[in-house]
This record gives sequence, structure tokens and C-alpha cells, in this order.
Amino acid sequence: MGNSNIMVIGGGISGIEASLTLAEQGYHVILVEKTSSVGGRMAQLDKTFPTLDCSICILAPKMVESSRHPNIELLAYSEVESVSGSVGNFKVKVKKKAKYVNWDACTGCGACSEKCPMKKIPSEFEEGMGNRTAIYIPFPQAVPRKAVIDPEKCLYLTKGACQLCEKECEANAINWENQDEIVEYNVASIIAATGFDQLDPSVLDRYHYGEYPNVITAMQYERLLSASGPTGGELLRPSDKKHAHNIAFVSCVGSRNEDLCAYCSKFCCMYQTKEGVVTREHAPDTNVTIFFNDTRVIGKNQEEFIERAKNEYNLIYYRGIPGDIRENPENHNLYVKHANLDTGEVETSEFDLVVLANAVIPRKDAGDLAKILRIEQNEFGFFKTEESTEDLKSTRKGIYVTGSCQSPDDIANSVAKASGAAALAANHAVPLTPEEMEIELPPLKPINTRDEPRIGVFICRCGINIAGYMDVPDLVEYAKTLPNVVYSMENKYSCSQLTQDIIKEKIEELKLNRVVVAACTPRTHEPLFQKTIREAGLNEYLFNFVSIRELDSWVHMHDKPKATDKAKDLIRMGVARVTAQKPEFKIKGEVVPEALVVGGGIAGISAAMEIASKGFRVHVVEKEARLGGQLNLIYKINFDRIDSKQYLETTLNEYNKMKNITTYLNSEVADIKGSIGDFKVKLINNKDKKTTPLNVGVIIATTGAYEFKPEGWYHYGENEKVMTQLELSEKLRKGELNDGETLVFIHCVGSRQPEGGNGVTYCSLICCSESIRHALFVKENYPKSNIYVLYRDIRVGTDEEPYYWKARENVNYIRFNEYPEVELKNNKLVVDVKDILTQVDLSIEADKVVLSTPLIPYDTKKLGEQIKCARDQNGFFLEAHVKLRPVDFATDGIYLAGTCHGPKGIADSISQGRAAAAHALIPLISGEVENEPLVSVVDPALCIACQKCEEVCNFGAIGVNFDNEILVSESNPLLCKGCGDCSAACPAGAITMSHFADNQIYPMIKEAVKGEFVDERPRIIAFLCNWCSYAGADTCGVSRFQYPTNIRPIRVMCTGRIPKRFILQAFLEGADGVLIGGCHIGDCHYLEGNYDMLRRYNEVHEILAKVGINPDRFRLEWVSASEGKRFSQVVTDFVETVRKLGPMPRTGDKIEPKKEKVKEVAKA
Amino acid sequence: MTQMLKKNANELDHNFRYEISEKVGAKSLLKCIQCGVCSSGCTVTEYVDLQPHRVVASCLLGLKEEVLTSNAIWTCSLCHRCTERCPKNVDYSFILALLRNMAVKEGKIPKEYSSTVVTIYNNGFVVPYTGGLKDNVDRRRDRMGLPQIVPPKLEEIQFIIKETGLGGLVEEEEDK
Repeated sequence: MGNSNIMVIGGGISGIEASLTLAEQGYHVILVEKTSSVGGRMAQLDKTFPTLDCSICILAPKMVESSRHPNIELLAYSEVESVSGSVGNFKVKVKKKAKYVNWDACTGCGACSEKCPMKKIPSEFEEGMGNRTAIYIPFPQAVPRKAVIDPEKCLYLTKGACQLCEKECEANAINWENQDEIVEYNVASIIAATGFDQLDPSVLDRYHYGEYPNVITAMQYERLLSASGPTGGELLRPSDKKHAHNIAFVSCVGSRNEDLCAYCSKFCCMYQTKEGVVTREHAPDTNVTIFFNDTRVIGKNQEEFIERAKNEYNLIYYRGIPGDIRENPENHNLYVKHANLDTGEVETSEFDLVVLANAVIPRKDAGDLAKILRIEQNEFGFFKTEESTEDLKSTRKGIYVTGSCQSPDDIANSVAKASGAAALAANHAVPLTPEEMEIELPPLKPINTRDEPRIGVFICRCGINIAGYMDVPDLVEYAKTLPNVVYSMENKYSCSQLTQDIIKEKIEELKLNRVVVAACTPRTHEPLFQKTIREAGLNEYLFNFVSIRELDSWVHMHDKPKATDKAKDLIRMGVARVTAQKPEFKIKGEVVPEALVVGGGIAGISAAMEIASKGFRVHVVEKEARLGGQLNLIYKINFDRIDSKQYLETTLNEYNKMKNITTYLNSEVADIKGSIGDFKVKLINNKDKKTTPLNVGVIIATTGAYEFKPEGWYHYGENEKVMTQLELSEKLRKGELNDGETLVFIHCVGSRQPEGGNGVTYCSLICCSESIRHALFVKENYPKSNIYVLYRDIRVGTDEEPYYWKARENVNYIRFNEYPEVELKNNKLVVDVKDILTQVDLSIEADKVVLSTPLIPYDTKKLGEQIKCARDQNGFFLEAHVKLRPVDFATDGIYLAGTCHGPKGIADSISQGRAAAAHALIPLISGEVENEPLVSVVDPALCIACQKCEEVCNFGAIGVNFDNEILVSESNPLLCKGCGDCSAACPAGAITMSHFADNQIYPMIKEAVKGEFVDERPRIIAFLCNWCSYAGADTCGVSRFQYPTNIRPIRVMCTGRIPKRFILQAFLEGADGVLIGGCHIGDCHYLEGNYDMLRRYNEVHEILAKVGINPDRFRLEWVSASEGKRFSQVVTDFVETVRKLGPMPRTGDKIEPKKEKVKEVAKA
Repeated sequence: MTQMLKKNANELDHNFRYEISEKVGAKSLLKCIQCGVCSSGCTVTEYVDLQPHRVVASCLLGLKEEVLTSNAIWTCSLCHRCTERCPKNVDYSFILALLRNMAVKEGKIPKEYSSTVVTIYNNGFVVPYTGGLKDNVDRRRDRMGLPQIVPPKLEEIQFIIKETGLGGLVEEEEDK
């Protein structure tokens, strides 16, 4: 019997990603998290760079998934105690720390912490900027959302008095007898993803952190920016809680410091830029100054982001790290003294807030864990890997490392590394069999849509969280009066096991065929009830969740009658919807167990080997005559100077041993048809023109990139003394240099050109290291040579910093702002450069001029069109999500890795290759693909083949198939993500969005405006997108921000789902206003659905004006999942606006179309 | 911005950085990565022609003449803040002392310094202890019951000055 268990230590984004990848592949994952919630650092962030996505919005779904996945056993509030055994059979003892709360009973309602008298404990999550209580849930979006008691702070556990929480908890979840518990697991392999700590900046006394109140760390600043943070997203400085208008960011606080952290912390430059940009967006009257030495970008599109920050957001960048901060004791303003390296002078500026980018350091307990796992740490304390081309294998077999515990890394890299580590960890385990994963369920009861609906309504009291603010018995009685409702009852806690049993019983007893639960929020609890009714033999989609807590009781705490009336409306809407719901079934397709890898460089090789090692056939296509890509051209790899040829040979030896890999050299992809699970591919051999047909389930693109040949720059191509770095490396290989020569290296030739010009806009990321490597190599082997390195910023990886330091000792580093000039006269090269460091205009007679040029992607256009995958403005392939899905395309079944994704080094290419393999293995291992039934269905009788649906679909899931005789649109249910944009765009009404169908939404609109209880006007319908605004409304509820009761929310998956007819119908039914809430532009869960909504919004605006409805009654707002406060403000403000406009004509009166106006429009 | 100094690379003294770094305690010069912390903490920034980071950059590039004739090396108050704060432990204060020595050896010393040396050479005091000043001081010391100031042995001082190489300065100064 093989072992299916794999342990992941650390529940940050890296640990979550590794767990999900493995769980999806069918391994059983034990995810151990030290704190009481998963989420890690990313949960604390406000936004992510460079796309400014709301961090918690994109993370929260992954957090929820990690807690809910049947193959993941989440051990929160637990720590690894000891490890024995060896690979394939590690015995791990895990300590489940005493929580003093019975998590099976705890509903996460938070009533306990409301009552806890210990209100002033600095919150770890808020970085001490806010407080928590002794019994607490660390943050509103915590997963699992369960309380724990801090035994060091609890009054009862320390002094024996209080126990208020116990009295308050109606679920009786407090357990004072709770003790630490040791549990042993037997796992095949282990992934460490324990993340990082940050240096306490008070060790650098010149910055007076901890002494001057307005000097804070960047993480504290993130919390200030966050809408759910201690100031509600207001930029209030600590000393006087006044708005900060002049903010300084200080880089390298402890990093790149011989005594503290002799490495670069890597992502600070980028988050400072992000924080600066977000600040300017929040408050455009704020000045942001960033003090830096070298701006270090670490990924795709980040150079462009910095350029935009400078030019569009007017962030001020000062080259020079401040050496002194002084405070004005009267107003706590800060004087920052700084050198300006561009002019060579020293200046002093006044700021009202200073933010320190304190260094990233290994976890304080990294040493302890290293001992437990018996793995080594590197000189800086991060977990060590064997060599520089390896980021994932620790020094012990079967234990892998990922994320910032290995080396400081941003989210995108951490995610890629996590999936890569998952691929490696899986090699020691066997996936669970389908039988082991199958849960036995009773057969489904046949439901005919024509059967009379028999609805049961279960209303939750949630202790006092709902019952305290509305009349629940009244709701129960009211529900009984609604059409088709045959049963209604109240439950103390609907999520309790008791209620689940009652629901199942009542389904049997009363032959219920539809169920409505009115309780907290569908975003966390819908799956629980779906599971329950499925266990009773009802299809999951015959269920509807009505939110009366987050959307009602918690936001209308001071008006019981109105809150009760709103709840009645919400329940009536829910009942109307569920009546129209019908059974839906998951969509399944078979997967051909073979993979195609396009491109035989190191990324492709790594991907192919990982897939082949799991037993699947892999086809590798390479257009050249040999495998290895750029490795064939490089002399020595990285600073440990691995011989590239030898390295490639060793790797290919392994590769060739794998019997199930077929390599096609001199070949290209001629044609690709099909979709995930079943691609029909035609390969063509460019030499003999022979074609090979293939049938594969998945495709990985690893087409790579090459060094830019800078024609037109510095006489390149005219004279052999001018060469690129790669050409120099060839000369070094052959030993063709003469000692005593003068070499001038020029950086950024063709890269970082904001205007494009003869070059590219991006930073190529690897050239600085390459230049340093060559400078050191030349100096060692040709000691009399004189090297000048002409640079803009030196950008090297974390552990490469010491090599840069070493190079500087014997090499002339010259920093330029204006590009140097090279003159070629009589075969003599003279380089003219203005050095800003010494302020000298230098002319150098050079024997060789070596140019650092960017990586350019190989032709991605053709393949991009074949696989229908997008490319970015630079020709690199565009991944599904910059941060969270770096190796996936938006189209399912196709993955990418290596330098076709963006410039990167060898270790990153290998990690990405493995990550792409891990994701491709998910459908391969399961043998079938499954999709939620929330998909679009085309009625061919109505379709007019206008291709509008194709236009709005971002996943290539729908479109007209021109191979068919009858031209109609076809939807591929395996690719459809369920946003519903096509359905909204279809002019013929031919597309139905399953489970969010028009006939399910219309009844809700109708019921929403009925308002037969309190004749309260205005009555507003709010369409909220599931991922951001609905989540924002939830956050608003959790934070208890109050707003008027006038809105009736309708949840849709995406604002793109909302067609114009919904809005017009709402007005027609008599709504006084319509509010639409979606994700911020760029944040859309379905890439660009909100853009389509924006377009429709503008169109509807015009229509409304024409038919005589004041367009102010219709509003579109972007509210993110963290903007709870903003949600309440938006609603309050909109209700006020509509109230002033007065009521619309009454329901039933219908709107009298202004005939003249209509005629006018018709004429026009 | 002021006009940049034009230089040809063959005018640079590539050995200058090693000339400094090879001296005991000055190896740290080579470690500089030009972050600017030294300059931004410097207490005499208003008075120097070259800020500390620029002095170091100039040493590394081989601008010997410019460094040794700058007022920066003489204006430093030797407060050691730069040294204390440097993330790379470059001992700038110490390096400056070496640069002063080098400048003196090459006779590049501000007049104020060299005339002080002459005064010490001639009198044994920085402020000559003679005439009205001496009478005044002696009287007051006497009143307070303090012992008389014993003048140093002039020959010894002159010997030290000659032996340490400051002699050249004296002759130079006297020649003028």
C-alpha cells in the first residue's frame, strides 16, 4: 500500500497553493497552520502589485477552498513537534494547541469577543495598529472562522474571574478544560512553506522607530491602507489621527546591510511603489516620496509599473538612502536628511509620516523547524537548497521548500514555486483511488420541473445575532404564507449538526423538493446546506440561501421592525427564486492521458520529466535540432558557476531514461483543435515536412526567449569589439580574451526604454547578474584587465547581493542617467559617459564594449492563435492571473512556463516548469474534467450567429463553429467559467445561464419591489457581484457598519451577467433606484466582465434619459471585498440621492412612456 | 546642474583605491555600494565641497587629484556618524585621516593647517604663549593658585615635526 499523505507546513499563499494543487491531483494533504486562520501575509495586504488587485478579494476564495476541500485536512492553530522516519514514511507529531473553544460548536458569530473585557490587546494581524480581545477571531475574513482564547491574556485563565464569553456563547462552545493534543501522521513527503518575519527596525536607531510615533513599518502602512484595517482605510497617522499628506518611504531598512541582513529583501521596492500608487489613488493631494538606492523589479510588467508610478501618479523617487530622521516635537512631523545621488548634494525634507521598508528575515523559529525536519539553513537563515538552479529541494530527500522561507519572494513566484514543490512532493506518494475519494450518497430523487414545488424554509436565529435584531417567529409565520411553502421553522443555529439532521428529516417526511435557508451568508455556508440536501437525495441546486445576517440583522441593528420587513422581502425573493430552480448536474469530460510540451528548453524539459515520472506519455516538440534552448549558449550558470554544458548533459541523461517521453526535433506545431481533455494536434517536421498527428489531454507552452541582438545600438554588428554578454561568455569559454584590456560593460541596452524605441519597455531581470558574473570571471582570469560597468540600477537576486559587493571591490562601477555614447573611429572605441556618482564626464578608450541586452520572447503569435491564448504588449504569453495563476492560461487545459511567460533565471524556469506540470497533472491523474454546472447553454433555434458572445467571453468557451453546416454559437461547458457575460450580451436571448437564468432572476426583481409591509420608499434593487461587492457587503456586515434598510440585494456571479433588460425591468416593476456593485476595474474574477458592465451602464444611462427616468436613479459602483465601510457609504449615499428624487410611479401603474419622447427617439 | 568635470580615463589613477585600501584598517573602502547613508547623516554637509559618498566614489574611480585637493577631507569633524551608520562598515572617518596624510605628503594642505604647523614648530604652542597673553594668563593662574605653565621642549617638538614629514611643510611655508 502506498502512502497518499503529504504534509504542508504553513498556511500562507504558498502553503495554500501547494495544498490545493496536491489535493486536486488526488493526494491527501495535511495542512498545518500555526495561527488560527490560513491566509498568512497576503491576507494582511491591501493590494497586490503591479495590477493593484484587492489582496483579500483574490485570496479569500483560495482560503475557503483550502478549508473545504475533501482531500485537505486543515490543522489550524497547530504546530509540528517532531519528525521521524524517512521519505515515503515520515512520522510527524503535530501539536494541536489548546483553543479553549470547541470548534465543532463554534459558529464564528463573534458574540464572545464583543463581550470580552480585554479590549486592548495589540492585534498581531493589525501589526499592533489595532486591538483584539482575549477571545478572538484574528480578522473578519478568517478561515476557519472560529474563535480561540489567548491563555496569556484571558482573565479567567490568568486570574480565575470573568467567564463572560461562556455566558454569551449560545452555542456552548467554550471549553475551559481544553488541552494541547498531540496527533501523529504518517506522510510520504513534506513541504515547508513557513514564510518570513520582518526585522524590528528599532535596531537602526537613526530612524527612531518605536520612539517617534509617525515612523511606521510598511506592513503597518498596509493595514492603514486596508479598508478593513484599524482606520477603515483612512490614512490617519498615529500621533494625532490626522490625515497624512506628505509621506516618505525609506528603502533598505536593514537589508543590504553587512551586519543585519547581507542580502536584498527583494520585494520592498515594488510594494513601496504599490503603496505609493494606492496612496495617490486614495488621496490625490498626498505627496509620496520614495528614497531608494536601486529600484529592484522582480517580475513581469513591474518596470512599466514603476514608470507609471513616476509619470502618471507623480511619485517622487530620490536616489539615496536617508541617514537621519529627526522629529519636530511640537507637531511630530519628521525631518528626513538624505543624499541626492543624482546631484551629489545633501538635502533635508519635512514629512508627516515615514514608512520603513524593513528587511525580510527568516522566521524566528526557522532554526527550530530546520532541526525538527533535519534540513539545513543557508548563511542568512533561510532554508537551503543544493545549488543555485534548484529552489525547491531542501537538503533532505522528501522535504521540499517553497515561498519566502526559502528566499524572499513575491506572491506570483511563491505560487509558482508552491505548485512546483507539489509536483516534487507527489513523486513519493500515490494518489487516492477514485473509490477512496468517493463519498457514498443516496440516489437522487427524480424531480420534474413541472412537479408542484414543495418548499421548506429554515430560518436561523444565530444565537442573538439574527434573533436579537429581528422578529424571527414572525418571519417563520410569514414564510408559511408564501406560495408553495409547505414548511417553515426556526433554528438556534442552522449550521449545527442538529439542524442538518432536521432538514434531512423534513425533506423525507414532507416530501420537500426545494429548500431555503435564511441565515448568515452563502459565501461561507451555502456548500454546507447543499451537501445536506444532497445527502437527503435532493439535487444541490434545488437550494437557495437567503442572507439575513450580513445583509440585514448586522447592518440594521437599531430598527427591528424595518429589519424584520426587509428579511420578509429577502425570504420572499428567495422563495420566488427557488421555485424556478431546477436540478443541475456537474459537467464531465474524459481526458486523453497524454501531454504536449511545446519547446524543449529547460522549462519544457522540467515539465516533461515531472509529468512522465507520474506515468503519463509526454510529447516534446523542439524547433531546433537539439534540446536545451539557451543552456546551449551559456558558459557558466549563476554564481556557483555550474558548467552549463555539463549540467545540460546530466539533465538530458535523466530525461532520455524516461521511456514515456517522445521528442520531436526540428518540429513545430502546425495545428491545434479541441479543448481540455481532448486536443487534436498536428506536428510538422521542418526538415522533411512530415506531419505527425497527436491526441493529447493537456498542452504546456514553454517556447522560451532569446538574447536581443542590439542592431543600431553602439555600433553593434559594425565592429567585432562590440558584443553582447552572451557573445562575451562564448569568448570566455574559448579563452579568447587578452589580459590587460579595457572592457566597458553597458547595461540596459534596449531594455527599460519607456518609449519602446529600438528596444523594449521591460526590465529583463537577469542581465545585471550576468554582467556581475562576467566581471568577476574576467577579473579572476585576466587580472590586469580594467573593467568599467556602466549601469542604471543594479538588480540582483536575494543571495546574489554579496557577489555584487565582491565585484564592486575591483571593478569601476559608473552610474548613468543619460545613456553613454560610443564613438568608433579608426577601429578605436571611445565611450563617453556622465557618471552621477562622482559627477565626472568620462571618456574611456575601450578594447571591448559589452552590451547587456534584454530577453525577447520567441514568436508566440502563431502558437498563441492556435491555442487561442493571449499575449501581453511585449509578446510574452499572458497568464490567467498575474499573481495567483502564473502558470495557467485563462483557457483550461493549457499551461505555460519559463521565459515565454517573462524574463527569468534558470531556477525560476525550472520551478515554473514543474509547476505547470503539476497543474497539467490534475486532469491527467483524475482522467476526467469536471465543471460546475453554472455554465451557458445556447438555444440553437434562437441563435443568430452574431458572435457577440464570442466577443465578451474571456475563456474561449463560446463562439460560432464555422466547421458546422448550420452557423450557430456553441458553448463548451468544460471551458465555461459561469460569469454569464455572454447571456447578457446575446441580442437574441439565445443564451441561458444555468442556475442564474433570467427566469430565476426576474421573479426576484419582481418580489424585491413589492414592498407590501412598510410602505417605505425609496425601494432600491442592488445587483452585487459574488466576488467583490457581495463580499464587501458581507465584510460590512461583519464589521457592523450600518446603512438604510432600503436596498434589496440580488447576487450574481459577475456584473457582466447583468443585461440591460434586468435594469429596465427593475424600473418597470417600480424600483426607485438600481445599484450595481462590481469588482474594481482590473479585479474581475472573470478577467473583464466588469468592463462589459461599464459599457452597458453607459448605454442604460442614455436609454433612461430618453424614456424620462432620471439617470441618477441608476448607479454603478466598484466595491471590493475589503471595502465594508465603503459599501455602507455607497448605499447610504445612493439611498439619499434617490430619496431626494422622490418615488417612481407605483407598481402596477407601470411607467407611462413619454410618448413624445419615444417618438423623438424613433425619428432620430 | 553644474557643469560636469570632463576627464579622460587615462588620467585616472586606477591604483589610487588600492593605495588607500592596502593601508592598515582601510580595506573597507572597496566595500562601498554608494547608498548615500554616510552623506545624509553627515554633520558638516553644509561646509564640504564633496559629500562623503562622492569622496568615496572618487577614490574608487581614481580621481586622486580631486580628492586630495578637496576641502572635504579637511572639513570633516571626525564625528564617526558615517562609519557607525554605514551598512557596509566602510570606515570613512579613518579613510579620511589617511587621505589627510596623503595630501600632506603631497604638500596639498590648506594654508590654515600649514601655518599652524609653522607656529607650533616655532613656538611649541598653537597659540604663541608670549608677551601680554602670557602675562595675563600667568597672573590669573597665580590668583587661582594654579601652577605655572611649563613651555614644552621646543627641540623635541621640532624633531618630531621633522621626523614625521611635516618638516617639508615648514620649509615650504618658510620659503614663501
